[in-house]
Order: sequence, then C-alpha cells, then structure tokens
Amino acid sequence: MSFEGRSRQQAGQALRDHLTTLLAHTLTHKPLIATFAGPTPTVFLSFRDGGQPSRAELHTRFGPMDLFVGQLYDAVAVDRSTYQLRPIEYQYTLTPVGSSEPLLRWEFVSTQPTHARWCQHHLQGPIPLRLGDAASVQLNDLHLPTGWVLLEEVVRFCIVDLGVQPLSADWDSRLRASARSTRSHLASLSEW
Amino acid sequence: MQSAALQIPDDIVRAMECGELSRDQLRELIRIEAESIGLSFDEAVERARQRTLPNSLIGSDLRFLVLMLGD
Repeated sequence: MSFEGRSRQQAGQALRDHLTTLLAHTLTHKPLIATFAGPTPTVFLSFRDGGQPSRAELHTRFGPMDLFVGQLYDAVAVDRSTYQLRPIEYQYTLTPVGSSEPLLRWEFVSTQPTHARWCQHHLQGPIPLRLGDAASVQLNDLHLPTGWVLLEEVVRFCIVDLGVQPLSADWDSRLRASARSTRSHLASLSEW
Repeated sequence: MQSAALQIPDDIVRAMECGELSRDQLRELIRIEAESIGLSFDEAVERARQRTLPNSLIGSDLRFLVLMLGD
C-alpha cells in the first residue's frame, strides 16, 4: 500500500484506490472518494454519492447495517517530489439500518476540545454498561480506549463477528497484507 | 438510515469527484450540510470543534469538513 505520491492528489488517490480495492474484495463494491480542499493540505476519504455523504450497507447475521468510513490525512512534503500522508483523524461507524445513531463508533481524534483529557483513540456507542452498583452508564459517556484501530480490523470484525459474507476467497490474506503495510507506515512516522 | 438528499451545486460535486474544493466551495458545502440539520455555518463550525455535533452521517461528515477548513 502506498501512503506517498508526487503530489497531494496522487498520494490521496493511491490510498483511495488501494482501500477501494481492498473493500471490493472483502465487504463492499462501494468506492471511497478522495476529497481535496484548497484551504489545507488534507485528504478526506469517505463514501459519497453525487457529493453527498454516504455509507455502505452490509448484510450481517444481525440484520442490515450501514458502514461509515472517514479518514482525514495531512499530505506532508517530505522532499521535492514526494508527499506523504499522515493520519489526522478517523471514524468508523456501524449503524443498524433504521437507527438514528451508530451502535459502534471507533474514533481517533487529533484535536480535543479545551480541557478534554480523554483517550484520543476510543470506542463509543449508545450501549448501557453496569459499572459496580451504580446505575448504568452509556458507552457514549465514556471514551473506551482502543489503541489505533485500522480499517482492516473493522472489516475483519464485520466478516468474522458480524457474519458479513466476504466478497473474495482471499479476503483474509488481503486484510493481513494491508494491515501489515499500514502498521509499518504508522511506525515510520517519527512524531508518533 | 440515509439522510434526505442535499442540494449540492454541480460545481461542488465536480470539484469533489475530480478536483479540489476551493475555500468558498468548502464553506458552501459545510453551510448546506449544517442547514440540513438545523444549524448555521458558524454553529456547525463551533460544534464540530467542541465535538457536540449529532452522532449521525451528516454530523460525522461535517466534523471532517470543518477540519479541512483549518483555523
């Protein structure tokens, strides 16, 4: 997988192409769109239909669910002819069709509100938890730490745990290879 | 649940699909999405930065678009 290119656009499009191909062999044929905007050197990957934000519908063993993918990268010039993508934020959500709110929401938040000190990599959702003898609290009120969650791992969760039928026989090896490449890239970014 | 269709101008759709949004186009897209959930542009930007947008498809998208806007 490439996180680099000769321009911001080329780097973003290469990653978009890789992830779209990965999704097409695992979960969905819906393509990711790479959005660029002039004000900042960023690349936003998401599902869109005619410019509108969108999600991919999955058929799980618990019923239909919508997958949202949002990844925002900074495109940094590392030399005269190379731009490298560095993650700023991600959000992956799974929403049962008909629900107004995602059941599961994995996030990495780079910029927190003032005075916030919660885990920047976390999982949330409208899920009641019983903690001790206290009344239940919602997972949405906590920031359950997760560490870095890869899109590949969310895809794996959808196939293995939610029972989504994979779209190719080699889905497992494709996910492993892509995850290895992504982890290698993340490890190479010295400021992390 | 997918949101109702937004009225996104053709030039913005084209810029998203095969080009680059200008600052004005990005602000217009944020305004359109914000109004679809009953917020003004300024309210959406503030709520995105305070992480108090709705946990919805539009709320998620708005958060990323506001980040693209920069400071």
